[in-house]
Amino acid sequence: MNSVLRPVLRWIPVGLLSFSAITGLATPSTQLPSSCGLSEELVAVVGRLVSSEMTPGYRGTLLLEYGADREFIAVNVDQTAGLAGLQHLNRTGAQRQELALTSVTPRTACDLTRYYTFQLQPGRIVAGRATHRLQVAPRDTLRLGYMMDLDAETGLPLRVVTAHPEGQVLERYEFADIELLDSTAMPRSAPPANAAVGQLGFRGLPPGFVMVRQGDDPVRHAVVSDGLSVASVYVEPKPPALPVGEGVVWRGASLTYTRGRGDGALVTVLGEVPVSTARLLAEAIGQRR
Amino acid sequence: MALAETIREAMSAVMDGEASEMDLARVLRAVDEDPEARRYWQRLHQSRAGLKGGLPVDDIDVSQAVRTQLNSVRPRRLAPLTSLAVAASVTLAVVFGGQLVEQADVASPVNQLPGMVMPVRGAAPVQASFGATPTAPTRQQAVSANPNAVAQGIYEQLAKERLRRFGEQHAQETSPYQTSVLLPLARVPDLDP
Repeated sequence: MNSVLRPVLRWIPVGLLSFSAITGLATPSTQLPSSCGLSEELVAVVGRLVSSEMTPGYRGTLLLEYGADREFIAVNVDQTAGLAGLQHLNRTGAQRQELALTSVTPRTACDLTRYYTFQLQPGRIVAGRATHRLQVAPRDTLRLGYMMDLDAETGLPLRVVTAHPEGQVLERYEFADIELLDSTAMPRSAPPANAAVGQLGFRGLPPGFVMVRQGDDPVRHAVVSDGLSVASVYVEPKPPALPVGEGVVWRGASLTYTRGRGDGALVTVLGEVPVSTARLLAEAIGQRR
Repeated sequence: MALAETIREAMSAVMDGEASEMDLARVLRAVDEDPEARRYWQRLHQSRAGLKGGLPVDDIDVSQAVRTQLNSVRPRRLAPLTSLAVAASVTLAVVFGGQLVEQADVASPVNQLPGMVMPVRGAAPVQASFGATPTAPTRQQAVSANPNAVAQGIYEQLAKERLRRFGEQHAQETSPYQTSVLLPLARVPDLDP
């Protein structure tokens, strides 16, 4: 563990000291504008960011920091096998977790410009690799903001700071080390269809969000996204004795918001969105099939 | 242009969980189309945070605030201690509130739900962390100072339990839509802290 910790801890103060200086001196991208007003370079960078199939396979060690917690995580993404896995290094007896990589049609940079502004600047060295810095600021208070150091060669996000719309930093992750793998993405299937799902719908969605998935197990739920921010909304029956109310917990950039509604629904929103958006989602999702 | 009173009332109703279909439709349409409505919606949340003991946040340009914050991340050596203190004080409130509920009613509403309440490391209730100086309440204060404290404690416990119960599924199902496919899975709390 020490061999993993030492290089990361050494980089943190250096990174923090140079944080403001680098962004303050950086010159925004000046490439020719695309049809939506973004430079061609920005469109390409954001396009790579939102398309997981375009990122290479890799393995490395990730530092994830939020609140008082700091976790070191070994990660491995095998594009050829279509599998990604991780293991928390500082959790006793932690099992390796895996997920299957699936393919979705991502939003384009031009789609996202209605809700976010993008700025591309020279980045710093992260995990020994050169980066571009992409600042993603929300145009409203319904989504989070990001500062990403993207690998200059592959576009992989090597360091990401996530902030609340009010400016509070929620989470930071950074690769301590990374090794790119010689694996190319194979054609992948879309996420499994949800044929058995009843009609779970929203009476409206916050601007920019669309429902991208729904399911019935273990309870009825839906996934919504604006192209960058993602949230799952779960609906259960509220026990009659439970009063109407709401509760919130944050874990890094991930919020869990539970609301007991007057119509007997207990709704939980889990995702990377502000409370104001979670409240709208919890109120808007329908209860009956 | 001043925000219409009907929109303000609809937003308040949504905040209070008393919104009609029409109220919700008005709010969603307003935050989609009207920047002033979005600002008012944000101010409502800020004022609620203030009522719950936090400090009000200045009415500022949000996008600029994010850029400023992103450009001026401070060393976090003291922040974890502060967060820990806040989390500790809130945990006390939740625990005391929870104990009162348990004593008052063995068939607590929480107990009627599937799953069980377990502590989640690193998950901090947000309503008490808007910058207020944390003060650990006594058991009596937890109830008498705020009549909704018990219900709030229940819902914070529920939210923690839902994070534990749905967290991995959320990670698996949303990974294709994330900029880092593994990040949601990395955030899933330790089930055996």
